Amino acid sequence: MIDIHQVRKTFKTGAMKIDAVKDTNLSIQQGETVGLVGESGSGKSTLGKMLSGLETPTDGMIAYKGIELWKKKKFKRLRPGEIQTVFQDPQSSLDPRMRVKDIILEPLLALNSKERKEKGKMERLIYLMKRVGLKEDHMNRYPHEFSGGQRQRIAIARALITDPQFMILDEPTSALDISVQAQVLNLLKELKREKNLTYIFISHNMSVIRYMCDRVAVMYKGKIVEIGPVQSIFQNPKHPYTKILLSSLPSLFEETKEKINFSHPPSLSSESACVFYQKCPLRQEICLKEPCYQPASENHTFSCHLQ
Amino acid sequence: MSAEIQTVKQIEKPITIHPVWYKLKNNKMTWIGFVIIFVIILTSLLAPVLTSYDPTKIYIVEKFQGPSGKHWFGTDEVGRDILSRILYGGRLSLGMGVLAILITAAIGIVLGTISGFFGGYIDQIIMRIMDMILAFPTLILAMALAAALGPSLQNAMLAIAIVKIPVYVRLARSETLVLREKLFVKSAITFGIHPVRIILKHIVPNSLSPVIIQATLDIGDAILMIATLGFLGLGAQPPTPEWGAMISIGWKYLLDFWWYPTFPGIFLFMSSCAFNLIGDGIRDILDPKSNS
Repeated sequence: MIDIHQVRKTFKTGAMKIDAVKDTNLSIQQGETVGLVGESGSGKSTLGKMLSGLETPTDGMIAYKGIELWKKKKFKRLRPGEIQTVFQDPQSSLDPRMRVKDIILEPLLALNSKERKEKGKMERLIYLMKRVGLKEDHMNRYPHEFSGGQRQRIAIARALITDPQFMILDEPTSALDISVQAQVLNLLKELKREKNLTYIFISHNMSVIRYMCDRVAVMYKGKIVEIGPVQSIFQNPKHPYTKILLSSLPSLFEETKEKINFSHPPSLSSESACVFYQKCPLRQEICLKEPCYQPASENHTFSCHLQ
Repeated sequence: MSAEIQTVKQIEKPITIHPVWYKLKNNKMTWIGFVIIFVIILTSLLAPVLTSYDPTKIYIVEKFQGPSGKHWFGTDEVGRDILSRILYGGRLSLGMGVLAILITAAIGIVLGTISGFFGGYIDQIIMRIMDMILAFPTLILAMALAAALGPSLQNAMLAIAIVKIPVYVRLARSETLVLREKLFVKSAITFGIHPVRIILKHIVPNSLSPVIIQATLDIGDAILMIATLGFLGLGAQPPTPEWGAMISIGWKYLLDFWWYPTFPGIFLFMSSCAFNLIGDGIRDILDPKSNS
């Protein structure tokens, strides 16, 4: 459904050039949930923004259903409303001066008048609000009257009003507290089943990823270092970075964990070195060359020399 | 039992005063400002009822009469009643001041939001033009514009509107730059909504409060500037009753007939002060950062 081919995004700040996303390839099938994990600054959100039209890729191709989304630095929407985004921070993603009703119906303004009438019917609005767990009389209130979880529900309803097929969930629960997180995640899961949606789920929380996703792509410094089915990645992580991420998860069952010793970063580094060279505990001389992707099992590939 | 619950409920129900009213209630100076402006507007609208004199009718026999029961504020050099000229002049002075600020705020918001939202070349062009306007002292530029357009009250008003635009453009632009990074604007972009619609629906309503504050503070200044241009002969032309023009002619007679320039001056001072008081009050209400 989505094909990301050799996409690169370079930010320039003065003379400095930073590759937020480096030659990334990723394809997403209809109906699956692909997770993007990584620390802050790993480029996962930038990748999501390039899919939703907020950032222009410097290089490469992004195609949706076989049609290129970016043509000559311009974002083309085949049909507006087919790709929707839910952002991290529900405080800032809802206009404080609009009523909930207007907020939810807002994406319809991008559609043609026939579709707008059809999808903007009052029954449909009420149905959607109820479906995401809001009450009918919330319609005329303002966002500041709601809690974080409810606001995120409003944002979800807003994304669903256009009947999207593909949704970019950019850390949709990281601003919420734990119990509300679970509710919102469950809602997203149910909606996915009901409406046969495809998700790309951006998060830095491994447990959330494990719960939500079919496949995971682990990103580090703009590169996907390991990608594979959730089961395979969680049980058999290959890349040292993935191992570190997983070992940071608190667990009920394992008393003692493999301790990872962080060595001091080397002063020497080179352009072509592995992206994780600076912080890798298993660093060796071969790592100064960029590793290729190698398969670990079916659909599971990683980029590291040492396995 | 049920009665008990009811009383508890009644106690729990908070006394709801709208925060705006609460802040306004405790701000005496703002109230004074409102009262002064209200009185001046009311008296100038009711001028035909309050005075029986025609503000432009020349009655040379009664020239330079001091304040008396017949002419409260005296008469001028051609025997016109100064009180009635002040009241009729209030319509022009206040009206033109408010109108000038309305025009400049509207243009400023449009240019500022466009400049901030689109950035790039559009931003550069708009902001450089604003810099050009800002490069001149405000009053000198207003004088030059008024003189170039031809001396009349409307042209003085336009000149002031043009001179004051950069303040509003900068204000609206800086607000827009903040709002553009907000997620609700970003989501509107991802929906594919037209930029003009985004500006109208999200940017303008959310950047309005600082502009309103600036506008109320500026009205007093605009009234003064119109009077200044009138004083310099670039605003209202005789025999139009306008406060600045009245002071301009009257100051020559200040030593002998003190009432002639003094009363229009007092009205000018009072209204300008009052608008500033209102502006301060509105700033306190709308700006969450100034907690006084």
